[in-house]
Amino acid sequence: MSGSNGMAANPIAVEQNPMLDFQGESEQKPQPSPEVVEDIAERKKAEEISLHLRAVVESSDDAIISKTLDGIITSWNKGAERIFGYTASEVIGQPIYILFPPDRMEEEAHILSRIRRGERIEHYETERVRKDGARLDISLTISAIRDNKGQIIGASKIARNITERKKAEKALQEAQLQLGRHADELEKQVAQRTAHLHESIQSLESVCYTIAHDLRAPLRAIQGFTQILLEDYSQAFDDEGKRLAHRITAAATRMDALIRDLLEYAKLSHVDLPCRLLDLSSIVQKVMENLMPEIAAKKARIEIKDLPSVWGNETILEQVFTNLLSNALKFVAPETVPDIHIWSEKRETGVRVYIQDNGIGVVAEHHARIFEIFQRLHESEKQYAGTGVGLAIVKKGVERIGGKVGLDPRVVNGACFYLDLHQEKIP
Amino acid sequence: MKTAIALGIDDNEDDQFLLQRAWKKAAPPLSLQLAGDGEKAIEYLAGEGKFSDRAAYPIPEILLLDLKMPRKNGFEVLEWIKKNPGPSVPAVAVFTSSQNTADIERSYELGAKWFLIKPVEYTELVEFIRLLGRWVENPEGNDLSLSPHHREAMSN
Repeated sequence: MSGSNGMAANPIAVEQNPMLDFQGESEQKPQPSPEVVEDIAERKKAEEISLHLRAVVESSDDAIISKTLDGIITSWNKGAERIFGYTASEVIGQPIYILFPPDRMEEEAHILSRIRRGERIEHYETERVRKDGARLDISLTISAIRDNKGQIIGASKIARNITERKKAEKALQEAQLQLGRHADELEKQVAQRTAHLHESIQSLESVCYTIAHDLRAPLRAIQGFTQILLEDYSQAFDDEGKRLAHRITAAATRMDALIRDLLEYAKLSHVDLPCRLLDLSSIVQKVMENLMPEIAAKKARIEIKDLPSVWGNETILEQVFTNLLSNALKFVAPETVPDIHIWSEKRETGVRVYIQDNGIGVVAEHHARIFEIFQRLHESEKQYAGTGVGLAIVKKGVERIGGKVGLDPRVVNGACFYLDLHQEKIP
Repeated sequence: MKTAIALGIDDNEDDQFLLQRAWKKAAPPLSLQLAGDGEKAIEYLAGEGKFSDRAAYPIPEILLLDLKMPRKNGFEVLEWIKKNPGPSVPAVAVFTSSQNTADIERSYELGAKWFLIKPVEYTELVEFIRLLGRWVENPEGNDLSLSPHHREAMSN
């Protein structure tokens, strides 16, 4: 577009200037016609708008550039200067191609053809080159410039430097990718470890099986052969010899009990034990029936008061109460008749069940230790036989059904165990 | 009247010896034959080789079957019996150290009538053989499930 055409594009510049058209001298004070006054006001206003617009364009952070349809730069604001590094005098009259990176030259033909069709291009993200050769990420909005007949004569383009944004986007993308990789890696690790864990559990199971089968066979042999010696060859032993033989069988029996308890304990760790709502009093009844020989032998008194329904597994709860009750029956001073009380107390969540006895009790300093496996606090094994696994089974069992076991520290005469149990499905 | 036979199937020589010894002591109306593994037991039941002499090796009334054995294990013996129902099928009592729930389940699934844990105490073994003797005379009132070593199937 030529310069005059550029002027013609400005409707203010092409209007007639009535101010120069004075006629007559001075008998009549020349009065500007109302139209003229209006024209002047309009023109002033237009000039103001023009100045205003120019200021807006100049102060814009974005590059605002206009060009002809042949791609020759016709205007260049301060923003363009800042972004691309060229001054207006350096680029006006130059082809817009100077801003194009070599691999994007074909973009211009495409842009121009769209502008010729009267289309507007909005937020088109591409790359351009600064004067110093640095590549920039920019977002382009391009629209047609028309003359007063509506003819498209050029294009104005607003370029926003989005290099920083692009950098941030790229960094974000990279971070997301890395995060994804980490997540994948983590998932892989979890899967691997789970597999390892399954393997360990399986090997544990086979160890348990071996313990059960292979370890008990020699025990049966020790037991059996010693007993045969005692029964069929007793005349060959003196009293001391017989006592020693009895100790062999007693040790073998104890080891068998230990293996049985260990298997029970191991089973609690890895066997699937489904839970449901259970009537605790019928479970305790059943346990007491099983313990009837011991209860009768000791003439024990057992008082049970309102036991609720609890959330748990039958096998576990039977095991737990069997162990607690047999302890209460076992650990009493020789002359004492066992007096056992079982009752419950509603708690904020669930219920607390107490099992109190009048036995030899547990010294306060041992309270924390008694639930650990293989802890035996009573050294005189003859008086108080046990494997040291019973309370560990209680603890593990109660934990498997989401509960807790403890020893009430307030009770000093005898022991008072408590179980915190749930009364509904654990979330 | 011919003597009833119990066939003990066990690879452990100590257990074999103790069983024989306890058998003598309990003296049940039932004589004991022994097979050292599952393969031998199947040969016996099938009447192969020397076992074709049914006068010397009569079909047993009951098997005392260990599970973990070389060559053929207890489960394979149970499977063989299932596939080869003869004119008189012996009752099978699994007689083992395992209390493994899976073993108990599988044994009952494969047709075992009882699952018994070998007693550790010799006197209890003698007692069990006495129960076996009462059972062979009168199965009604002397089911082997009365033994404290008996384990029920877990599934309901």
